[in-house]
Amino acid sequence: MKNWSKDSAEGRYWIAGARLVDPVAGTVSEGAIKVEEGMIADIAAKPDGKGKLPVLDAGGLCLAPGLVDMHVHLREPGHEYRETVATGSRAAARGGVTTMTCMPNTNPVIDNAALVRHIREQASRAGLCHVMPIAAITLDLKSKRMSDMGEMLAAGAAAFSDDGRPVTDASLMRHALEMLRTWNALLISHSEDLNLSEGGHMHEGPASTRLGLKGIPREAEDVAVDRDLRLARMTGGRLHIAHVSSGNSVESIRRAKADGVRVTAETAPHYLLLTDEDLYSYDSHKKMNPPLREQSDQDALLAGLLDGTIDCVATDHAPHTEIDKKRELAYAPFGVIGLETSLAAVLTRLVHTGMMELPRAMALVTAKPAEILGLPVGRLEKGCPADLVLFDPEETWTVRGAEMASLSANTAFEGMELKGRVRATLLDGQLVFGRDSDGVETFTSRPWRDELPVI
Amino acid sequence: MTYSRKDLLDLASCSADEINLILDTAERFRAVSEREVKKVPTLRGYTIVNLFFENSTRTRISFELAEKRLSADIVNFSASTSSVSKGETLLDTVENLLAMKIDMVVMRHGASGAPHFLAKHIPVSVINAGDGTHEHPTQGLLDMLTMRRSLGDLKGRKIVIVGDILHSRVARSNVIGLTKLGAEVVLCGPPSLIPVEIDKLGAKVEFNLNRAVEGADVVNILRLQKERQEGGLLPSLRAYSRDWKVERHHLDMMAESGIIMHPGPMNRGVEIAQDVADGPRSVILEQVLNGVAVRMAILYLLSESSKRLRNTDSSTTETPDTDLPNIGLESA
Repeated sequence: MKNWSKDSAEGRYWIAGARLVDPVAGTVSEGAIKVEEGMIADIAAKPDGKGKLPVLDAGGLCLAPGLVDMHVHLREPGHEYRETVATGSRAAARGGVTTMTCMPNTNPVIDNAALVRHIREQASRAGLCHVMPIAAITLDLKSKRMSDMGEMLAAGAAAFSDDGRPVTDASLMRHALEMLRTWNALLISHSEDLNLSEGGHMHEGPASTRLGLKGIPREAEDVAVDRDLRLARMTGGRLHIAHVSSGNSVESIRRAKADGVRVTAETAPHYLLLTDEDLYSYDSHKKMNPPLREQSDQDALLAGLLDGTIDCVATDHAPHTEIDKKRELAYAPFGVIGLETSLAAVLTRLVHTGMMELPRAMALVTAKPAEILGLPVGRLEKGCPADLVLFDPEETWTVRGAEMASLSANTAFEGMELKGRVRATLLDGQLVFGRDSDGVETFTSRPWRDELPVI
Repeated sequence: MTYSRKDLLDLASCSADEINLILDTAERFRAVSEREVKKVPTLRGYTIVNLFFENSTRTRISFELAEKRLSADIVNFSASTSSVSKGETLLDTVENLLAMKIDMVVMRHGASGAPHFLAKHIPVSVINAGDGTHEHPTQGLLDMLTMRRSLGDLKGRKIVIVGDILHSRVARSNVIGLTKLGAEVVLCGPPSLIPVEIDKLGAKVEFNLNRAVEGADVVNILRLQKERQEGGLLPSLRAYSRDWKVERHHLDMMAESGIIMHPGPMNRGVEIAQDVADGPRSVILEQVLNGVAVRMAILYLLSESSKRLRNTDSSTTETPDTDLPNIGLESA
């Protein structure tokens, strides 16, 4: 990977000797990619030799579209001690993520156009990842008054969500779904019945009974998902269910999809690798909302990914400091980070187990979320932005929170061995992160020009 | 058989052999409290801190007496959970105490798993004196000692626990400990106060009190916390008492030698009738005496195991497997 940084900065070059992972075509093939002005200009078996362009040697590693993470908390503004747009972008680059959408539960809440612009500006300045804010559905996430979604959409909001809190008022939820039809925009629901989940610290089941911790039954998710599916059916709005953790919810979504409801859904890597039994040590790093559920739920989620009921995997990257987390489980906040482990987690759980072919698994973190968000990324196609990730699918490594680029270290996978590692991340054709064979990591900021989408 | 752990956090992690060792050791310490001079020098020079983040009268006094009867130096620390939220973390609080050279921590805490968290981060022994709604291992052990003294071997015995199982750490420690000793545990109470899938812990559930107490060797009655009617778990105390108060006629349905237990403090007239609490089958005050003995045994066993853990670099060195440890009774 010598000269990658210099040559990629030239703007016109070839990457050769790569195994090209095409998540849309579902293929892996030996080949080369030509990058020009930040875009994929050509895909061929070999560089064509025209124009004497530099050729970057991929050394037989996998080259895929950069990851699209549609569920991230960047904590800015308000909680910059946990993460900022800049540190979160660094974590993204290290995890091979080239586009992420960040949730509005900041302080103040991202519920106005000025803040939407601010986040985009912060991200373009950081220059390590494309970031689009998800704006609030209701002002201050209070479930009382609808935010001005049209204005925020024009300012560059990717979608709308009150994530972290559900929209408790079903009528307001209905009207938000209706309103968003104007622009065919997406509503991302944090589906939770707060009465059923109140006071809970983990999934309600045999493990919570044994541990004496108040549980959050899966029905807290299920009844809210069922309500939201009803409202999507009623309004014709585009609904995306965030962080599905319950097997029952998978079944509800499956049925709704079969009935033609415009719904998509995501789950998170931790639900695929861990269960409620991982809380037996009272480790607060296994505490998130919705909580880790039982093996049967994990099995249902995997089946949902296999049959397409669950469309994609998003991390719900939720940074918390060591001070927040190093305490009694009951007093520790919900949430775990995920940007730097999502590729490895997906490969480890889905590909190396033989459950899924590599391109299909990659689609879950690239083309699928991009499609849901309506963004022209996540594909390995001529004319698409050259947002790329180079990775070694066979490298095993041990997760250490202390080594993370994120400002926080609260990974649920601490000490776990994962297989698959990011070696380089290219943003608009320029190297933003590189990890050489000696493990030396380099970050290079490439401030991007923020062009607003035409709505 | 030796107890070789650093801490006593719960009965879930104890084997039947370890439980029996603690009970056998407690039998021997029980004699100390019956003496005129109720003191042995076993823990002379030891400093123990009693860290109570939740109100407690009997458990705290029981630990204090156990420590004093073993000649340990003690420090008492009481704090409401609200002082924790005022700033200082649990770990900071304890590390400050440890800086003054403490040998053992006894902790009562409102959060389930708090002692597990603490034990992971500090080098000295932690004894769980009740954590949230998780476990109360010393109460479980003293209950088992009391049952064993009345009934002998607990294998196959029918032990009924009545009341608010959901919020009871005593119930969990009883279920877990008793099933390890081969007893048959039946849980009885309003369905809203029975935790989900409790049967996975090896207990049976019977909502009807009459059916539950049929042929029981022990009926262990839990305190009904009055705040449970808030939050929609119960309509009223009256509604609870009508169906789950243990009354005199229930005694006739029990096994002939059956006993009545209660971890206290009692709500007389709510979960237990006056004449049941004070009747001939009640061993409630016996439980209190056994509590001191059990806690002495645990303090002693942990002091020995931590000595061994300190002295052996590797765990390959085995201490001689004597029948029962020399607990220093003779040198009193």
